[in-house]
Amino acid sequence: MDDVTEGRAILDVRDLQVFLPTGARTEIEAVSSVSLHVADGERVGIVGESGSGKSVTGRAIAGLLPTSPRVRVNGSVRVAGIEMVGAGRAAQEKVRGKTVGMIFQDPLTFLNPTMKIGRQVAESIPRSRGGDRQAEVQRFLAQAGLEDAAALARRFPHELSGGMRQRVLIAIAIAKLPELIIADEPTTALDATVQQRVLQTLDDAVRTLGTSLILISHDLAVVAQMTDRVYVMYRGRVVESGTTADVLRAPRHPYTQALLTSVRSLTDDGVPLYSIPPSLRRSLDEELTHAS
Amino acid sequence: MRLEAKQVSKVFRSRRGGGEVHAVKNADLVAEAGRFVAIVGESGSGKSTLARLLLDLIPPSGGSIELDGKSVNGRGRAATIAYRRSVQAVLQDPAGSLNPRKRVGRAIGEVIRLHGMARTPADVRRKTAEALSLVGMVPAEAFVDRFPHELSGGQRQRVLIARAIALSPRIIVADEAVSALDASVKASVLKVMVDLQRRLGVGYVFITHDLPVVSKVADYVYVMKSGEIVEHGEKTRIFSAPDHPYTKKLLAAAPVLEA
Repeated sequence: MDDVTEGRAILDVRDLQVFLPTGARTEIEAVSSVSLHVADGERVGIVGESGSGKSVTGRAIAGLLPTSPRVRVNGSVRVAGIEMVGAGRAAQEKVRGKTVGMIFQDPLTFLNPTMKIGRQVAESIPRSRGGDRQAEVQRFLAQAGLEDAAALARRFPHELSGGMRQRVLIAIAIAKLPELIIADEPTTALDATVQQRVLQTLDDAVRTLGTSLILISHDLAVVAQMTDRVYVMYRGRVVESGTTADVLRAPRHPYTQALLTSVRSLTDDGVPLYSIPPSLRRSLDEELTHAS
Repeated sequence: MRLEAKQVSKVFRSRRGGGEVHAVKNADLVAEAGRFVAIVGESGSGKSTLARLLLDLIPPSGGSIELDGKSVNGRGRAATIAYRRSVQAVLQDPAGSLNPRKRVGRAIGEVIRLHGMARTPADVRRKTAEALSLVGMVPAEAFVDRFPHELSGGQRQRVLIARAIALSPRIIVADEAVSALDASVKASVLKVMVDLQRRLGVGYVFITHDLPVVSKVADYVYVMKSGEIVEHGEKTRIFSAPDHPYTKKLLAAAPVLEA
């Protein structure tokens, strides 16, 4: 057995496999036998290129895959010890509803354009909690780094800048005091200066609440800054995992090595522009097909 | 060939008598064939508006855009077509710039025919294949019959560059052309662009918020903030000794993976 048994894992994913329909009769295996775990309070990154299956993995964990009978999920996803795969919709929502918060890249598709910010945050606070909801809403908006929370609560999403909207999403995610936040490319659409503030906000919120974090990103610099451990995905599989520092400093898998070289080649004057050679992708694909 | 913005301004008026937005204010900029010029700034800085002005897609409210000393605005059809051939655009969203119902070969071939770069179908095909191979899409036959949705994001972006260079432009205005791409694909597209600069003397106006990429490929940098060019200079100078506080702030925020 691996180290999952040590301490309680808020999330334990075993052999996750996700099929998504691509046409009337065709489907793709978007995720193939992915296993990962997140301990209480731990920060974990999932990195990979577009199409690597990192977002589908995140959505499968959050229970936010499209609701179609043609979307098939196999394997095991245990959230706080409770199995989600094969559980009924209501049972899943009961667990995830209070345990998992999600933050997406594009806040406008997630926020309701006709509803004031304050109410959207309030809706995320469980009714059972009681207390002064207005005060709670303002507390979470403030915790998400938004100033003048009282005035902000009365505004609509379109009246805010992109960075503010993303912080509203953080407020909504933390309002239910989840044990796990899954952030999928939370700052990719933002300018660099705003990105730093939003990351700082997320960092503070997660630290204050002791929440576990899964950060899904193609941006290795962001993952390096925010996470303790990292999983590298390629073609729906985890090809390498380890502490973020180790993986980024001394990657073992040829794909991770190539990915890091290409990332460094974009910023480092000493490294000539490098793209992952098609021959490497071909040999990796062959290897992966043989392995499964 | 020299493309210049001279004291160019753009004011947008809102429809319902609201306030005016000064998107670009008295901007001066020089782009030349063979030179990689970058415009950097954050969202709302006016950099994309300046790009559209340079491409003569919108008329300036003040000042002028000049190609080799002659204003490009409000001229006849023939002059505009000649201008379109010399100065090409590559915009951010490749899906939005490609007709989903046209195969790659047709998307590029049509432009070649319209601009009279080749006449016979065989010549058009040959030119199309040439352009595709220049951006590393080889063998070209494997791509000409595909529809945009059958390509990856990086491949679509390269089709756009291929379509632009098929007309042998002297200058390409690229607005966030690589921003949405993965590192590996970004590197390969940039390699193609730099290669075209060196081999064919293509010049670029490269608009982006991605500073690390600029430091890698640009020769000269303009920094925009709130519609104004607040600083410009040789790339090495901008990155080693920035003058303006805003440039310093941008440089400090740029995410870089430490070695």
